[in-house]
Amino acid sequence: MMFFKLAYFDIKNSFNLEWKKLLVVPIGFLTVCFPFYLRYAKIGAGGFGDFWLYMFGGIKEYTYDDAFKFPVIWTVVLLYLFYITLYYPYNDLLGYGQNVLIRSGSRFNWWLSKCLWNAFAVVTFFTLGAALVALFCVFTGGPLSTEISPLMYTEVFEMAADIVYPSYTVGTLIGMPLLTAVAISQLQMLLSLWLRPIFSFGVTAAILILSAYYLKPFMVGNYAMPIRSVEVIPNGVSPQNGVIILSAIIIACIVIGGIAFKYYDIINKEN
Amino acid sequence: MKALLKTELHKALKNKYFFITLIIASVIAVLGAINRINEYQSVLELVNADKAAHGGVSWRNPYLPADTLFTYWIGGECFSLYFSLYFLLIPLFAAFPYGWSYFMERKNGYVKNVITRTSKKSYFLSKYTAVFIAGGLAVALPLLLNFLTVSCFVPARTPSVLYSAYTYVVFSQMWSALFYTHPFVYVGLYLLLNFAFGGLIACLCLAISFVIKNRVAVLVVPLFLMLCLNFANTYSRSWELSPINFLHPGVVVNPANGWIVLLEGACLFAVSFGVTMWRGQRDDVF
Amino acid sequence: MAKIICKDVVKDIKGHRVIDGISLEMDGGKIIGFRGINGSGKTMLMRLLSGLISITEGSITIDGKELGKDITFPPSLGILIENPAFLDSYTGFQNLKMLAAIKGEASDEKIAETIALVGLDPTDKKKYRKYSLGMKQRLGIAAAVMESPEIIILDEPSNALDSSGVDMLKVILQKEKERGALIVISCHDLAILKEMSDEIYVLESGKVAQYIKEEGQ
Repeated sequence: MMFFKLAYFDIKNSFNLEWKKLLVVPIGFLTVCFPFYLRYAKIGAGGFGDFWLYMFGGIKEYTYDDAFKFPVIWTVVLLYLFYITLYYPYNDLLGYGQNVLIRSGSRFNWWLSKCLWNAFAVVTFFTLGAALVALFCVFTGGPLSTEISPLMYTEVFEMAADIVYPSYTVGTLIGMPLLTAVAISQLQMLLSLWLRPIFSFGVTAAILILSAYYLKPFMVGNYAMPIRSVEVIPNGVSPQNGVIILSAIIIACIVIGGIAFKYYDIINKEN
Repeated sequence: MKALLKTELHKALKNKYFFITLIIASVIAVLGAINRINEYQSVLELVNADKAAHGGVSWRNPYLPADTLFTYWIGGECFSLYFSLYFLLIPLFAAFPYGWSYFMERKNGYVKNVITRTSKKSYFLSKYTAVFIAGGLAVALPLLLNFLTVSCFVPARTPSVLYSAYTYVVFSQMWSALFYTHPFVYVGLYLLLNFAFGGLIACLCLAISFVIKNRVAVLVVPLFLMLCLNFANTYSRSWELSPINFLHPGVVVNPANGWIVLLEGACLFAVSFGVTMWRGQRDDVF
Repeated sequence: MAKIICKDVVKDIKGHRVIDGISLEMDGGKIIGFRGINGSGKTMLMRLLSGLISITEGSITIDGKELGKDITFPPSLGILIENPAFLDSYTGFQNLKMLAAIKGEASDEKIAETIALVGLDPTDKKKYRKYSLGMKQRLGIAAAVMESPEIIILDEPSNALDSSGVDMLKVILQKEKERGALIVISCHDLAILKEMSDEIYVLESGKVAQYIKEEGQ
């Protein structure tokens, strides 16, 4: 009961504090969708799945044949999400949250409520993003399906013409990036218990870049790139394995964080 | 003003965030150097094996002018993880050492102590200079370290135009002629360019401090701005717009154009210096 | 009534001993004062008593239950440690109401009464970010006492208070003491401390250097 009270409080409080950051989301998504529409809609790409893949596709597997160009859109979208979820728990703990904590009587409940808040923030971000993309499709007349136009792979992601062109399910196209974002965001929150938030943000940025560079199952950022799925390329990452690994990361962050927070000294650290 | 500048430089260059940033950036730079040195050793082994198999004479072209210090240091290659990580994180490397200083000094009231002893103009001029130097050094020094490390193992042959397919410097790239004639000057100029832009990005944090009231945002907004420029770059078919790319001496996406580099640098300076000096002198200090 | 027993309490932070073997007993229905120069360990001790930080050695028991083992925080506690911290975009009343909703032990009327008691206007629509330092301090005191906790820990509560504020503080603490609460306060001003406290501990370098029992309190 107390846990739900805390979680509700966190969601309400963080929205009041951070709503301005959410305003950037529609601006950002539309800034990406509009040039894509102008450039690719004429040649057949313009459905929900195309827009979404443009945002979250990432880059094709890097094979050292050419200069490494990191996935800008994918990086910016995810980094911005991780920036939104970065500071609230740390700030809360050093201020108002202390009064909340002693009244709750349980450090674990406090930590759990922050984990729930974190996941809720990520889901809200993705829901908002999906709604905006869907709205854009409605206005531009594109289909609201997860069908991907083949030229997305050849023209946008510059992949070989002989790859498989899957029809993504909602689970793979939206669910996997969302689950990956939840896992990395939880990890970022856990790390900010020991490192300062800015350092944990740096670790998150490094995870994204390393994942873009290396196509390996343990580089978890790969699960947030649908074009690196085994459904598209033979040596791709498996969504099934991804669900297991990411769920394990989320559970580990909750448990380790709960244990660590039990012994965490809450002192206003020097700035 | 001299004393104030000296104090600010002391605070900027002898604080733990400057050293932490330098260490992290240097680790990436040195790991990148080791990676490339190992690759060069592999290339040498292949060349030597070829010679050994054919009585001391190479039967295949050893591509010596393509395997030179100037293509093996972090600024000469475009495919390793280290190059990508380093140049992506330049906005953070620049901001972290001292970009936050005005924000914190205003928050904890320290700025009141200084301004009542000197003028606002002197304070902000000194602050701007110190932030610029700290940010510039944090970006340029690890690059220099990488260059020097690789230079201990890879010979500094002048790159040859005949092997331009194996370098990342195309003819339309800014200063490309220097790369093939005076490569040390080319590298030196790019190190200076990285110093300048590192300093300007750090000073952008200073300007942002007047508008944004969140410490993490002050440090992170320049990174997002650079990434947005990188996004804009995807729609530019000819010239490089993103500092993350044009600060690299080789061509990553599009060749660097001197006028665009100058224009972006001038804009960064105008915004950072203008906002700092204007708002700094105009705003009340609470 | 609450009882706190500290036995050989030691706290090390990054290799530096900030609390060095403190042993004391505090009973409910009393005001216990702590005095000492900056860095003597007063605030750290208060953080230890409130469960915000854990002890390195020794034990702190509250009503027979060990802090950090049997309980995480004292079950009935109100604190004001270092600067008061509230949410900028809410009024004073709204801030306290949100805190009170966690345990559900203080009604709106009680909150309004407490805000009035500390000299603020419960109907004031001014947001917390517009409060002066003194108003913030008053709100912090209100938050600490509004739920009538058994233990009240106030670190430098007279900071930023004018003379009427200090009088208000004395009245509130006396009232809470008569209710049976155990009140732990720290203050630099010995005169105020002597006036308010039943017992005074003087801390030096993390140790109890002197114990003063006020007669007739």
